[in-house]
Amino acid sequence: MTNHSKIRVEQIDPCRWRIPRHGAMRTDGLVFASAAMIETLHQEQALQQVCNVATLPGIVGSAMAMPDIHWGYGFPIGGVAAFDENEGVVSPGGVGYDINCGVRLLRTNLEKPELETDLGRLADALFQNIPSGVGSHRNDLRLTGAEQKRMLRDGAGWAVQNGFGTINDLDHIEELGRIDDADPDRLSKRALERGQDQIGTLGSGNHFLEIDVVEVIHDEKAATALGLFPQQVVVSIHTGSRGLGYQVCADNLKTMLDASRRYGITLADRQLCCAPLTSPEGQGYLAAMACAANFAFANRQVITAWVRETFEQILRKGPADLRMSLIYDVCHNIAKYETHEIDGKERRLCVHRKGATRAFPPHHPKTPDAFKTVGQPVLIPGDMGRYSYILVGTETAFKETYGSTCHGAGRLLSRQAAKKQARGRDIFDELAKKGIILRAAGRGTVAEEISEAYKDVQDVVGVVEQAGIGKIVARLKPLAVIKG
Amino acid sequence: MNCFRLLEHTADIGIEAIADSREGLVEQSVYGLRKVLFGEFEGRPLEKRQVAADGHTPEETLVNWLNELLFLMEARRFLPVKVEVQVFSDTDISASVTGENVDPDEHPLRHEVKGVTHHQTMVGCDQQGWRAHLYLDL
Repeated sequence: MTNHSKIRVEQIDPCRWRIPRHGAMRTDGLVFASAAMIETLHQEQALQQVCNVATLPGIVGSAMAMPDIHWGYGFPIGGVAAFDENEGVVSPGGVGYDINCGVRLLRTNLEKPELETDLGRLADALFQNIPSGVGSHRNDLRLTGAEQKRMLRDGAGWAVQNGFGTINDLDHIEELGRIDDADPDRLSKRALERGQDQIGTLGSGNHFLEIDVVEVIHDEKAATALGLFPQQVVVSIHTGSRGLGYQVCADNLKTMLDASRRYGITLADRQLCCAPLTSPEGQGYLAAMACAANFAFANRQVITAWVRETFEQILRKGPADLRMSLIYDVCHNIAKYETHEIDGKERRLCVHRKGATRAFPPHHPKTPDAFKTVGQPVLIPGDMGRYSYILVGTETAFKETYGSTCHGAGRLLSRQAAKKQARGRDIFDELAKKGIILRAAGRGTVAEEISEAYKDVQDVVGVVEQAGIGKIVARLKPLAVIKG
Repeated sequence: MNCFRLLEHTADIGIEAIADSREGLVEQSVYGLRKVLFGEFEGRPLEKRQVAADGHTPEETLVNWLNELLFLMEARRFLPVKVEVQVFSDTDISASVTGENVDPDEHPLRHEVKGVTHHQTMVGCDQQGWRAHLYLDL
């Protein structure tokens, strides 16, 4: 059910917009955006998708969208919604196909000038050592049977137990790198097959591995707590649960369509199909989704180990010299039980974040000890030709958005439009002139991922900071980009 | 007229299939999906696979059927060349798909299609013939 007519929005303040409850909506929509962003949003269907989410049973508070909102499937990208644990639903369309797609950031002791001579070789080695591209897989790490199931239950912990990284890494991952109640027996043979050779692979599309430099520090206290300093070399990794996650989503959409009928849930969009959280279908999805989320945590952890190994080999430095510790790892496609205060009472809610990042405040029990006084780190990639941002979570986010904020720049151009703009240009050369080395498995992906295809992430985090649902700590500039 | 065209979407891509018959929509949707995954490479009709799926509406059934085929294309690198539809009712599609398993190094996929979504799927008939709209999550 799509309504292409202009959705009525009411401006609350410079970066908050209410979509008043109407039609089948059970609650208002709340969109965080600038006036210019709202105007653009009227040209696509993302606002209608916020309204559609607001029709789901058991929704608590508003159906929300972060400033990187754009047209998705079911939920908009940038969508956040919370559901009552007894009356509410869980929807695979509120998580997406790439379950626990996320970003992690590694620090180093290196400063940019130290890399000048080795950067090219380092980029080549990372490109060679970490498979990227469409359908990328590994022949040297194939997990089947009991071992695969252990990985699906234990996530990043499985990787550490098997020599990929250190136990300290786990404290710096959302949910300590493991979602509870994962049940591998809920996964189809197809999901298991698709995942068996994809641990330690980057994939394609907007996934990447970057060597970045800390270009600007905006908040010195928070930067120090995160271990950041000017001109520091850091590494960003953006990937998710690969084919296993996609299959889990596809399998469960079919189940959820049947469940929606069985439980009499009217759907504004079939991709919003869902089941009560208390139902066998709802519980089954959460158990399968947890496996895929744990796969993604393990995937990023294994890649991290190979990044460290590659740096050590190419730079001929030991771990003590490089000190490549994990700053943080955040999910941006996930549904999780969390406790939030609603009208003065603590309630357990299932928070869906689809293209949205958790942004918990200082002193929250789930904010790691290392960041207790500054807030949970939030990692916001931009595009490959400009910059990315590091933020921390805030009290305002916790109170207003269930501790959520944006997840990236958000696409501006369709892939076909981006390809048209890239036609006849040498994107590799354009980036080289900006001091950015690009290594990519496919030229098609490079054309689709040009900077102009994305909003300026500076505008997105600007709205986030103005609204108080995140605090900017530092800006990163890419030095070397590995794309699929 | 039997054909397909790719539809614009901010983050992803869609397929519009046009055909003289309901069965033809299945065939044109497959060719659209093949173009997104494999580009212009058309392959050879070497192996036959039977693909079946069910649903509660023609739209749901078509999406479910295409996701069955997508698994073969993504995970097994099966490149469909020819489609013969035996059944396309509101609740069932059964078709034999002839094609070949391709070497992933020789014919790498152009896009990773995460899934054929149920978002705004449409199967309908007007004076010009049958038409289907589908959106892929890339």
